[in-house]
Amino acid sequence: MILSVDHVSVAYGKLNAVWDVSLGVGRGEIVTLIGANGAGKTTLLNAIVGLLPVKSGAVYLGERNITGRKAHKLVQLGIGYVAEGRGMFGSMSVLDNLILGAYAQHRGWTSQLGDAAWLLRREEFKRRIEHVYQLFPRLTTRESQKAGSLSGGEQQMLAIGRALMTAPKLLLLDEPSLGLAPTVAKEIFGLLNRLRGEGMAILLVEQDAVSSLKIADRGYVMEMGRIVFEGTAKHLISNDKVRQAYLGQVWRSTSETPAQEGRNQV
Amino acid sequence: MATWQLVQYVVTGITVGSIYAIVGLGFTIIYSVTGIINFAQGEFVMLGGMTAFSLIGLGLPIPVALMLAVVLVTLVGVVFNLTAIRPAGRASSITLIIITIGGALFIRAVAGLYWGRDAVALPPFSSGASLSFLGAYIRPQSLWVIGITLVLMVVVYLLLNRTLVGKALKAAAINRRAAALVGIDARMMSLVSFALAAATGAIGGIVIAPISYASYDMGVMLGLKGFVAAAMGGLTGVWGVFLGGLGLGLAESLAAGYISSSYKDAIALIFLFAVLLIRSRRLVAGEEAAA
Repeated sequence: MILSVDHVSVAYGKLNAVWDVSLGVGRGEIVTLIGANGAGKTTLLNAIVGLLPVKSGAVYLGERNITGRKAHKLVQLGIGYVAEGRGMFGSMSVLDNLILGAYAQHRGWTSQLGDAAWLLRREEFKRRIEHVYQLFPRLTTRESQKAGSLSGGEQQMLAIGRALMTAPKLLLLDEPSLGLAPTVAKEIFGLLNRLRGEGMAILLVEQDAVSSLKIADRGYVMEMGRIVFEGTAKHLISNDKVRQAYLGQVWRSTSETPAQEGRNQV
Repeated sequence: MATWQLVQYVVTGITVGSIYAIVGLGFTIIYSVTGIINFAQGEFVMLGGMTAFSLIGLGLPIPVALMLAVVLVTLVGVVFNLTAIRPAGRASSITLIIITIGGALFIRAVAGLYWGRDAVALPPFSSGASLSFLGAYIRPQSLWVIGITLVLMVVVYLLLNRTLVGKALKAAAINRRAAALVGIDARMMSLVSFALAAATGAIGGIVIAPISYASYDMGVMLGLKGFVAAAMGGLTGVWGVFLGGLGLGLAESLAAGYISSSYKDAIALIFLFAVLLIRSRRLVAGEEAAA
């Protein structure tokens, strides 16, 4: 496993938002975390990446216990996080946003004080940015544009691109399809598929449970801060209770399971 | 009114304005990274002048003494950030600003105890007679002041706009959380901004000391005028504060020359009044837009 979450609880003050959650994500695997609003998905992600303190339990990256490490340190260890709302540096250019994605890998004095143009000529940096441009050709033409002026879909691509610039082993995404046109969302899911092929471990939080279960290998369902179902994506899709609670409405409108449609309707 | 007089006032105005620009630069650096208006900035300037004076008094060669003074004051900036700003965590800007006022009072009091109340003078950076230009006299130190200001502005501009650390400083100011997610530690960026502001402040104190003397309380007025320069420049850009400083310096010098030298400081206060009036209106407008 690249990521192992071991009996983790997270609290805001005295109020527990995540209870005793355990999950894992392996190399070349997409794992999805689904559940209603307020189920604790985002809280769990924030705790994994070090933005929130873990109250009890432990988080492992590979063999390494990373519980309680600060977010800016975890980036150096290979955790990329595409937060909900994207978190652009809006008044900076697309290129500057991508350059900053590689910040964690360039902490030496020469890199810090070197001209950014010089950084762009460095081999491994060039390779990475070309990789991002290859995944999102649209960003190439927007390079010098301010990040804040991009469309929602382009901003999401930039947010993912910037996370990829950190050279992550593990990529966490919080609602990447939120507010995007269906074609753009599809493009983003296609990209996750491709990253999985490159061996990346991906933890995907989605409200659009159908889309995310379609692409995922495995899934966990959260409810009131706890994991209530887990299993392979296929298993979850065909689980009656899961479908009733999370897939019902959406599933009915698709034509893929006509035989079972009647059962979920109340 | 003779031409040479006007030229003389303009030269004086540009010289003094350059100093205000340097002092204002420190305000701008810290404000644009952390949102704090650092009222201890004037004390960094004072410490630069006084420390250089003491180090020269110890018999160090002048260039060594001046550079060492900048290094020492930079360390003061770092210590100030670590002991006064960092422990306050994510307190509101107002709280942090009040902390800097307390810090300024503390530094000034310690300086008064250590150096006493007398003003001291540094030797000019180069000897030689004043140059004559259109009938006006230009002291070599004026040229040093203007030259060093320009170099400093360019260096800080390049540092903030072209280097990776400059981009990181900006990023931490724009979105602290997003910055953390690419590996930028906002607390470290705050520290860097204080170090940089202390260094520029010290340089300002050192270059002005041969012209107008240095004393434990010189930071009060210089800090105020530097703040006016920075606020006139919008508190965010290097060139804005440069123009703000020159504008203030020229206005002061011309008012002192043509009206009365007793109006010199009043000019700065009038500018301050105007700037606060305009900027606070803008702030209110910004809040409305956000709401």
